[in-house]
Amino acid sequence: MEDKNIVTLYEQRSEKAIAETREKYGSYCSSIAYSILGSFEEAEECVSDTYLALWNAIPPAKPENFKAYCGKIIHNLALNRYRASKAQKRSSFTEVLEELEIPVLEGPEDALRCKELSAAISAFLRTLPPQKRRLFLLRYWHYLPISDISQETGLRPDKLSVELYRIRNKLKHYLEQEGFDL
Amino acid sequence: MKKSDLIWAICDIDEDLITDAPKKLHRTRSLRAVLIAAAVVLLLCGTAFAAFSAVGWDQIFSKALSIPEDSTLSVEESRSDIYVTTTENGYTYTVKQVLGSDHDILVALDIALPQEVSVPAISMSELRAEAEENGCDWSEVAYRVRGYQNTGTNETTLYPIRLSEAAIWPVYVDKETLFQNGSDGSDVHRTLYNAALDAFGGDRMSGEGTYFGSGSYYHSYDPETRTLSVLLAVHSDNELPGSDCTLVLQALELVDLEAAYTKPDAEIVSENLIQEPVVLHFSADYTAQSLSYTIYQEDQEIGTMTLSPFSAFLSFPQEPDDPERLAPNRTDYLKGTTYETITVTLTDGSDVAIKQRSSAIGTTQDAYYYAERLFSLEDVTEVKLGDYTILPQN
Repeated sequence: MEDKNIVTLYEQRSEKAIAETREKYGSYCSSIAYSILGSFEEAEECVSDTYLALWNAIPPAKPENFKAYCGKIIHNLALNRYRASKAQKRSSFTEVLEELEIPVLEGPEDALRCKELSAAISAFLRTLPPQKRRLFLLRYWHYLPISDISQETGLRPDKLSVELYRIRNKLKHYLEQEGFDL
Repeated sequence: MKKSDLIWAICDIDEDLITDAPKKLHRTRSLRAVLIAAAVVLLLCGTAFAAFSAVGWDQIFSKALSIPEDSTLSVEESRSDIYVTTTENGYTYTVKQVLGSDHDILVALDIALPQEVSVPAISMSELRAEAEENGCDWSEVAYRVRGYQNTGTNETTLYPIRLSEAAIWPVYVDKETLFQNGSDGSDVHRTLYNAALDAFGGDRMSGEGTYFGSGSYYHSYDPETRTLSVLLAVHSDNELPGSDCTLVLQALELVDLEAAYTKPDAEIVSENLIQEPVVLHFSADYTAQSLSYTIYQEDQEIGTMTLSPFSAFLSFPQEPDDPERLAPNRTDYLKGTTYETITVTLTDGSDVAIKQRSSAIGTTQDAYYYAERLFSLEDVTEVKLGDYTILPQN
């Protein structure tokens, strides 16, 4: 079923909307949640929460890119669950935190400023060649393990790590120029 | 700004920039997720297991469901003795008994190891001493190794072996068909899933086969008999009694726990003892026993509950008529229901706790619960669930 039709089902308050979402994007959501939480059980719980969040959000929300919208919701839910967990499991997200030198994942400090930061990162990503942008997104949005990205891109893990390091440095300088002190 | 704002900001980048991750990676994860997602987290805590076996019941059922030795529970028709065995590469796999309801089935499985496989007995106290000597935080180490303790016991010895991937589907698929696409695990499960789709028409089957995944929720290793006993749990939206089931065992892991007490962040390494997926077939030949209830909230009928001697299935199929209960209140309305513990009161005055085994699978309104002990439906006098009123259906 096309995304716009799934959104229409939500608007019509039809429970088929959830079944269709699960059919089309269940594994996509599971994958993101698992990468963050490192636990299949918790990832599945998070996916269920995502369906509920979608149900509550649409309407009034009318997402144009439904897949990305689902992705953002599960991201937020999984990140919050990760923060709340007293016994965080090792996951590829944990590795990402280490790479970005973030000792503890805290909640966003200033929502407005965070929105601005997000816009700046989007602008930065638009300056990157498509291949590098994809590397960045696979690692820092999908939180895929280096081994998986290596398999996908054909780049050796060591080369991949160097590429990601360079992109991170570029981002750092870009954000500093834009007035972000991180 | 804080550095962790980066994570939240990246999460919220422009939607048109968000590209797909490789589909094959999603698929692999999804299948694994399905298998283990449905793994039951049954809370057996606090249950003292006696070393006996109730008459007629396999010991693993006696332990996991606290069945007394002199049990007179009228639940035998829900049980079926199976004893289907296969031996592969020196390992003997036996499906012993099943206990089922309309939509849930518990399967007792034994895996006898060949002599050449050595499963170390790891003393918790020695582990702790080594962990502390290595400067590791004991609470973290204990968390990482807890899955290797025999379930529901306070034993001080770990056996680092466990069945980590298995699936049961209530459909017969012969081994040749399963392996026609090669012995890769994901192919096996894809084949099973497609067979189930064909068999059941896909009405309530969606892309992930969530309804048929399974995982073990109880395991126990006996070093004397060199046997790992596992209780698997499966939920199906289709009726299970009488169905021909296919059980696929994919990963039996012997684990090197050294990393757990030497380097807290290091990955625990394991060896899969199963060379290629093991397939067993059995018939879920039992009669389901159930009681049906209606769930009310402030005199408003909001759902139904089906109670079996070991489980409960809650369904909230309809939108509440009262618009006040619709979104955004819906979140609380649903969550409040799905995370409550059900209490069943029996004729002798005792209570049985029935706890949710996972968050909603299926539609977001459905929830599956397992009891901490077996009980007879004829002994049930009252069912409670939070502030809701639960009344028997006529």
